[in-house]
Amino acid sequence: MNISGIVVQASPDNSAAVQQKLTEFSGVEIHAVNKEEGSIVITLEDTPDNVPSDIMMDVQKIQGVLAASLIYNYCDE
Amino acid sequence: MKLNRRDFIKANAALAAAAVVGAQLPAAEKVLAAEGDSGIRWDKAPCRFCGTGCSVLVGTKNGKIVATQGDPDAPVNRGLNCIKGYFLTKIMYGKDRLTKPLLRKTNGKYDKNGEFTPVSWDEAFAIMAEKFKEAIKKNGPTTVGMFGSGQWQVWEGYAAVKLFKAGFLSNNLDPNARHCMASAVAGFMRTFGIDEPMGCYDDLEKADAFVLWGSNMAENHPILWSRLTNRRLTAPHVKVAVLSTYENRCFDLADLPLVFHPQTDLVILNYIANYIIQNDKVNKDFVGKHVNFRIGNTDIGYGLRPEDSREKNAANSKDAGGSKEYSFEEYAKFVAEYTLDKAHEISGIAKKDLEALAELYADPKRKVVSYWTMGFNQHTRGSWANNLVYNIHLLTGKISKPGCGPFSLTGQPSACGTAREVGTFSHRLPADMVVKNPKHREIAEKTWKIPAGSIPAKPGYHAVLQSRMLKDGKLNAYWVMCNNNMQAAANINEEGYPGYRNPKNFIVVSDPYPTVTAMAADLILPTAMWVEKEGAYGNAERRTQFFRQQVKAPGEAKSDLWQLVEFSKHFTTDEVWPKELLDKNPSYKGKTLYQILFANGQVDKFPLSELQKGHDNDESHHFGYYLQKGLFEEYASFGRGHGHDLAPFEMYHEARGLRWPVVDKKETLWRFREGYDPYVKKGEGVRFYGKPDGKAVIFALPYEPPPEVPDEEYDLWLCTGRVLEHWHSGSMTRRVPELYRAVPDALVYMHPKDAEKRGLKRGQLVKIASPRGEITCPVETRGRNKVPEGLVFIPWFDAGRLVNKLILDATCPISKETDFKKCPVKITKA
Repeated sequence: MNISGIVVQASPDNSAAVQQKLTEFSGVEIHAVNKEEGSIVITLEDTPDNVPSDIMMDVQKIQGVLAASLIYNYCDE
Repeated sequence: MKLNRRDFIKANAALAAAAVVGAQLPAAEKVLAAEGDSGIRWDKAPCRFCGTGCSVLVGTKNGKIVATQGDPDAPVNRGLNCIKGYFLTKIMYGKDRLTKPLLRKTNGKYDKNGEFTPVSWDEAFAIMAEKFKEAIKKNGPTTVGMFGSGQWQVWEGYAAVKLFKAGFLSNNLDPNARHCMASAVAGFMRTFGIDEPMGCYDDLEKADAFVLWGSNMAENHPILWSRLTNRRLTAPHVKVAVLSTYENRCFDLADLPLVFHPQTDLVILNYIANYIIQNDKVNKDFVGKHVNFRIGNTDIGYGLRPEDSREKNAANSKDAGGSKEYSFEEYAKFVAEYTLDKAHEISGIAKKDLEALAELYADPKRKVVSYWTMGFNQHTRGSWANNLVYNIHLLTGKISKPGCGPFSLTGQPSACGTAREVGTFSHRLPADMVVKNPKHREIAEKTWKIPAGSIPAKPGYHAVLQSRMLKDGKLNAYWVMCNNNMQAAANINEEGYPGYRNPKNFIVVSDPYPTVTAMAADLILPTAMWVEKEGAYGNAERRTQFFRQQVKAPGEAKSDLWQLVEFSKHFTTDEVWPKELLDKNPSYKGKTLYQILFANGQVDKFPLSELQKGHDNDESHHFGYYLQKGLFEEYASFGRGHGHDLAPFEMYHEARGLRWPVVDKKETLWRFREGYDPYVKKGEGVRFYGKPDGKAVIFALPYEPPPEVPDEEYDLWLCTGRVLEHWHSGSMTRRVPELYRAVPDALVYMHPKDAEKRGLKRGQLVKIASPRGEITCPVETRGRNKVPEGLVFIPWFDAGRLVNKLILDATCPISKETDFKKCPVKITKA
């Protein structure tokens, strides 16, 4: 089991597009959005068909993402 | 409702993230309320990676780290962690973790060309002690040395300083931080007479402009970058200028994106000073009261071997740090040649952008912070670059106050706390003292209770010189601890590797993993890491942070501290001290170095009863006293009352770190400024008390070219550096198998036109060569780093592609720090 809580910081203008992109990743769930500040709260969990660290890196690379900060990570075999 | 464990953990993760941005998640809260305790023990620890000093809550269950959370009570990171925090639960559990000492043997005996064979600690220390004694007996204490680390715990660095400088009486101790921020140290000492930034991270929320000089903060200090981003997005008047020799991720936020030609930062810095003077923006009151002027020696060489013509022909290679008195008028004349036209021509930056940059500094109403990392420091004129940025802040008085100041960032968790403050450099002693100064040696000898005249006055071999002396057979017993220098150092084909394999030498490497450095050694010692021991780091803003041991190290792995202290038991003074010294001080005869250095009535004075209940402390239980506390208190006595005050030991276990000087239990946010710094008296306003007259120095220093520039054959600049996912040499982050997949190998970032000119396509394998070696890797013409024509970038995390072997081991002659940022190479199809 590998579960992370992440805050994605997008520029406010890009927030909607970033959210759309986020929903396309396997294992990503959006929990809260702060529209004014552009921050998006997500969890990322391992699924049979994903590699969480790949997705974590891909989230960083979404156009309009200024920073993705890891807040919580749980990992056991 | 019965929830499964996954839902429970997910609710925890979501809530922790939501709390950071102030969002409410009622559904998740209900889940937690229903499920209750997770059985995880949480405790704080600073992150193991960069110099930012984020605090992490570490979750332990059944003796294993299973979870981490950004510490919501930490002033540095306020609940956030960067993506590297993801590795923290995993770095200790790599499949190839070393758990036994390994000695090269053939037929059961040590053999330099033998195979690594598991041995006991007794056997490991026995052969190691034999080799150290043999070397000292044959040619004296300069034949033994150590290469240490800005990742050492404070007390590990301190124990190493004692073992080498007060035990073996050798100054041949240097940290890997020499490759990282020695130029920052030299800059601080020359300008201010005292090391480390005057400001702190609080400036991130107070400045009106940020200027990044050769610092890819977005990838390498992401938490500071997120604070800077937040300031920029919430205060529209704030400007961000980013200077680099290629476009990196910081450029996404830049109001002033500035790509300049390598080495020309020196010109830009002098141009800004000239602009400030020409436009009458000098803060004359500040300069008059708080600044002296000097002109530094020029033509100072490149720190190469003395027989190199570039050293022989340099007028001042033997007095690189020399300087003479100067006046403001002379200085104004000196920088007058750095006109807008000249700056534009040499740097390649558009004139309007240069003016906009200069105006950020010149505008008296704008508070400015300058940040830099390796772009300035890894530079053959790195000490100068540091001095020159101070010039700008001093001319305008934009220093030592909220929202203003020059700030050198660090790349290792305790580059400041251990390497710099403890003084693990070949020329240093604790609290900014130096071995050259007889008074400083006397203070150290008294504190350490060793005979007068024990500590040698001559600085030892610094990092680059250690490699050369190993190769030349003059440094013969060598201990490498907590670093990966075979991957980090320049020119290892010609200097480092032949040095390790020189039959005259015995090389010991202590590491948790079989790095390329460990594999080049004769003896490998398995090491406990991070929260497998009690620790203390000092971050870039002078913040000292402690943590407790959370878990046991695997197998027979032992902490660096245990190794250093235990090894000292293998020596008596009669074996390693000169006869004359012992004859003069007969009471020291027949004692072990352990008795002299550690069982000295100071280090061993705190009983085990003071240890925190519920946490292990394997070193203290082994030696029979609270070892870390004893070392810390003895060490702290050097700085208390002298501008480097550290708080009492226990305070650090309670606080989320404290910024020194800590006087009367209060930390200091802005040094040298009345009202903030207890060392500045009422009515003084500002006092740069590192200098006897309380004045900082503005240095007149010119542009000088790098030692090598691209020519017809080697026609591209190579710049090496880092990426977000991997920390430095990757010895920890590359242990996470899934991450290994995400960023498997290093790429060479290249401009599409440069690729096209050479008939290369994206993804194609190419050969990158300098006169010192070659490596092969795939071409990347897109992606996060956009290089200009004529320059390529390669990160150095990849142990399969040792890019630093291409780099010339040229250094700043003042700081002795290598320039990893500008090396001419050629690129052809592989």
